[in-house]
Amino acid sequence: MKLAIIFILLLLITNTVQASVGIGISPAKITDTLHSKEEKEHTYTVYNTGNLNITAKLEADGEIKDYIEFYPEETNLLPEPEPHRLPPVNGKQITMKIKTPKTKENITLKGNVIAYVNPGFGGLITTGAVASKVELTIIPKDEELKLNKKHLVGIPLIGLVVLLVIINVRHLRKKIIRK
Amino acid sequence: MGRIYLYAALAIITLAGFLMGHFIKITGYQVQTGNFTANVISAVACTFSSHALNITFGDDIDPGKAYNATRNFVDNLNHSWHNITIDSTSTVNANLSLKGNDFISGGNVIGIGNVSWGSNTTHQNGTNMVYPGTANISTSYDATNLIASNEEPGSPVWHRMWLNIPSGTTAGQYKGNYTIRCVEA
Repeated sequence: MKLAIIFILLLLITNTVQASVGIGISPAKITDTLHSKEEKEHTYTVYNTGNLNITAKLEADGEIKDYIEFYPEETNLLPEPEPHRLPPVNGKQITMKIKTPKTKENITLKGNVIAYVNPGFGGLITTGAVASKVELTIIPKDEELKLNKKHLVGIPLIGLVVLLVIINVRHLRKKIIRK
Repeated sequence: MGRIYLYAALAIITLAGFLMGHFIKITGYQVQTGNFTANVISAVACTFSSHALNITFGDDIDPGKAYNATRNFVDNLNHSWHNITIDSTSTVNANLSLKGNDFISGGNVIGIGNVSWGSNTTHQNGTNMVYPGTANISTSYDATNLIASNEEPGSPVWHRMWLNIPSGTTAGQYKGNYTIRCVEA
């Protein structure tokens, strides 16, 4: 009888604890304003909400894709102890390095930083992913708005043309008066 | 005589223009930034049952027919064992979407559009999760047909998948891939 009860209990435990793969990323969203051609770093924490050891990989998509790198690009994660909480116990930090493009006007770049986890089995190779939204506003540097050499020549030239017009008008007026 | 004065004025104004252009720096606008610091942690996290990331459609299947994923109907209650849970550490509600790539077997291809899916956020054996399902998988995340939208932390989502194999498909062991993504709603 005792054996039978133990067997039933083991069966229940086996049925309720299923293997799972989980991934979390913090923060859920980053919004930042940077200058043209600026470099800046943000730190993400990734963590494992499943009960299997995993390797998480980070990638960027959307308009931000070409301006972002991660260090390291992937990391091994142990499962978080129950109950899950923030900040995560076994989470690891990944640095996102941003190199903004050159721009002479304000632009906004949107995209996602995606943490992938691929358990590597199955007929349809499947991946779980969580995405943190990113919105970057890029503004020109002050120097890029200053007068350049073209302006230095152009402004006096315009002044010269205006003056010549005034002189010619006065000259014509005198001629008309004489006549 | 008047003309000489005018030319002199012209020369002075031109010179003044050059000097102005050289010494006066006109800038666009100045950006003043201040810093606020507050340590509020935000996160988005999802947990996938191993079956949700391990979809197979069987080993003995024929072209011209539709097949259930092997864990679509399990046990005597016809439960789906493909489930995703928005983890309790998420500080935001989440949208779940998916995308995939074609099945390949050597030089032969079965388009990922032949896989369809249905989902339910309240019942593991929801009656809406029947073939042909809600939508077919495409190669980019489907923003119109979400597996779940605005799901709260702690909420589960179940789904089923079907593969409709086109007639004339060459026999072989085909492998494809798909990604389920959770993102702030």
